[in-house]
Amino acid sequence: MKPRAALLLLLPAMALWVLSFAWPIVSVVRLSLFKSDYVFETFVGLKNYLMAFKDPFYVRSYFNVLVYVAFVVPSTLGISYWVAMYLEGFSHRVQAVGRFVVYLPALTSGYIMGLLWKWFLYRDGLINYVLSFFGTPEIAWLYQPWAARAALSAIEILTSIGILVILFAASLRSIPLQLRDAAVTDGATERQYRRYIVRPLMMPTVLLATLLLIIGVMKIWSTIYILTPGGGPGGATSTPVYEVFLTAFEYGKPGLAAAKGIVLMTLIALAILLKQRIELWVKP
Amino acid sequence: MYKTLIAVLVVLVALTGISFAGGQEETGEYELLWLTAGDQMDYDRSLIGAPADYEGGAFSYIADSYMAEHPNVKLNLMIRDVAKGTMTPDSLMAAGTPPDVWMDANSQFAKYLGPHYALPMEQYVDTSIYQDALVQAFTRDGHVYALPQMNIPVGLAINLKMAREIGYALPSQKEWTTDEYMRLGAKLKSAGKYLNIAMTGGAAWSWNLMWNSAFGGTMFENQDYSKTTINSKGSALGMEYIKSWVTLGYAPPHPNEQIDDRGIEGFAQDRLFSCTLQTGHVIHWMRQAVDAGLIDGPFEYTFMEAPHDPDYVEHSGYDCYQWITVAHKSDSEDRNKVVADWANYLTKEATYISAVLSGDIPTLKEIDRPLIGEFAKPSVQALLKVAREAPPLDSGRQLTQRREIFKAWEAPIQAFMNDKMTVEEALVIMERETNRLLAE
Repeated sequence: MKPRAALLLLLPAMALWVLSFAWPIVSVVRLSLFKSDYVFETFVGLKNYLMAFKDPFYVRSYFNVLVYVAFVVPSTLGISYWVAMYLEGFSHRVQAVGRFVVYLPALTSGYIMGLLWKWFLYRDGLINYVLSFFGTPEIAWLYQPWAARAALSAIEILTSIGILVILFAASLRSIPLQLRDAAVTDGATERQYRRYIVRPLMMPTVLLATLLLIIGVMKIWSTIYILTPGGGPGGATSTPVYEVFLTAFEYGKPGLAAAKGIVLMTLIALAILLKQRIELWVKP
Repeated sequence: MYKTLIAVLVVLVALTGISFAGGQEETGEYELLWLTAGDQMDYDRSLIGAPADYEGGAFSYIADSYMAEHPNVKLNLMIRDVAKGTMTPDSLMAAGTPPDVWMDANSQFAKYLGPHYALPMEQYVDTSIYQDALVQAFTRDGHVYALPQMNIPVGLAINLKMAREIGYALPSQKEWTTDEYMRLGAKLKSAGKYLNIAMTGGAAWSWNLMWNSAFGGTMFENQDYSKTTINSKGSALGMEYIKSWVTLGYAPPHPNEQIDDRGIEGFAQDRLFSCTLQTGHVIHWMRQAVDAGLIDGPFEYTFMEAPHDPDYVEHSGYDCYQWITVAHKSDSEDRNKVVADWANYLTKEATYISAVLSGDIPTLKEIDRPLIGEFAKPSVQALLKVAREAPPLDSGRQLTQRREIFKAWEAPIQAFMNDKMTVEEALVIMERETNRLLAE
């Protein structure tokens, strides 16, 4: 193919990339250097970035991410990995039904999940009602920082398990059967097979899942919007994405919101780089 | 070949755009976008002179009437969803298509009242028909950048039915003291009723500032918005006072879970003796409570100032905000004239409609129609009396940082309510955070 024709064929995709990705990023970077109200703009250089780091709610949102990561990542990975392995022992039909059931919460819109959980988590909601049978005093789930973070984490775990089970199941099925046969022939037990063959082969998928979960918790939005609209008690539930939303649309500071967004994007890019480094390092 | 084709296409597209934009004004026809925060659908048509079978909202009726008189103008209404904050206007601004006319609460407009955006209305319409003090509030460098559409005082709503039930006669303003209010609280408690609600959830604290003012506490003084005056003995006493309602059982427990909506619900459902409210709130929520079967029918209520501590002040302050109409300036003088005319027509008609349908206080010096409906009710007249007699308190309604300030107050106030911080410690943080945000 002639280079000119190839370029012409690439043009629509490149145009789409520029319009939907490159141009918005350039616009946001530009906006982050201005104090703006969408109508009137003043160049302020890096002041928005300094203000972002001085904003206690924005800084706290990253601490919240660390808490969410600590709550969500190990438990979601562990449960999903176990469910995927457990389902492997059943027929294809049972596996399909199992995967569908665990994937259901992920299919539900975040907004609907939020409304449902609001009903569960209210002081006179379902969870406190159930706990009352065990003599537990009622908990203000959405009004105490750690209870609110735990509640948000539980929702994130439930909605994330489905997609990870699918991911792990696909990864498990891609392991060649010959490897199992070879291991069994060499006298490996089931446990040794899983530990020395399956686990290393699954590591890239586990790393990918970890990265997806970390990015996912940074971007939690709809459940916070429904359950703790101001970002929780003292900003205890807010995430960086939610802070960007509040800054842009509640406080009317698009320039500052853009700076916060750029910082978040940079951190996500660094996390992806880190994941790739680790992947190279643990490559079987 | 390709370059020529692309160039021709670009020129064609540009010409089409230019001819479309210019075409409207050449023919004297205008299509205007106007934005507001709500269009009341369930209302008594006869109060505003609309036909009984008119299907649109109350504000839409004004637009339809204007279009009937001005067939060359087409008005497109867009409603701002209040639950989404400023998302709708921000999106319009970001897209470069600001609304030609925008009618909303004054807190929305802090960044738009200037020559870079707003039409100087005094150059197009007679602004002297509106109350001078309100026009002055939105005048910058001699230019009137907004027309006042309604004036909304926030007073202490009082459940007269409950007062009768416990045999309580409301005292005169002079005797309506913070001590008297606590004595009333004890009486209500023994009757199994709540005096008020302590609302410290979310950013609801703005509703409580009148209790600081009862002891002489202020948020700003002399319109100096460079620093706050919140850290004072008056504010400390006000906050302790609100907390004492909960401690003594005069208010529902868990104040940090109570937001303004809970207060409105509680009052409209006959569960609270008093609550900080505005007229439109009670009307709307009481109707909902009746429809839901929570109360048999609307009960009698009135408005008073918040009680005051005579050792500090003679009157507590009342909060107040306005709805205003802001017109967007364009490069076309003909269009500006049309936009200003519609903005003025809308403001004049909407001030009447808001008064008779929601009991809001009109902003026109004179109205040539009888003020009937909600406005004629004794409760609204009582609130008017509060607005005339009590001093307004300054809660920085026009500050762009207002929402952030109240968000920053949430944590120290809630820590104080949970006995994890003293009132003095909380006020130091509130002062520091407010001044930090004001300095930005």
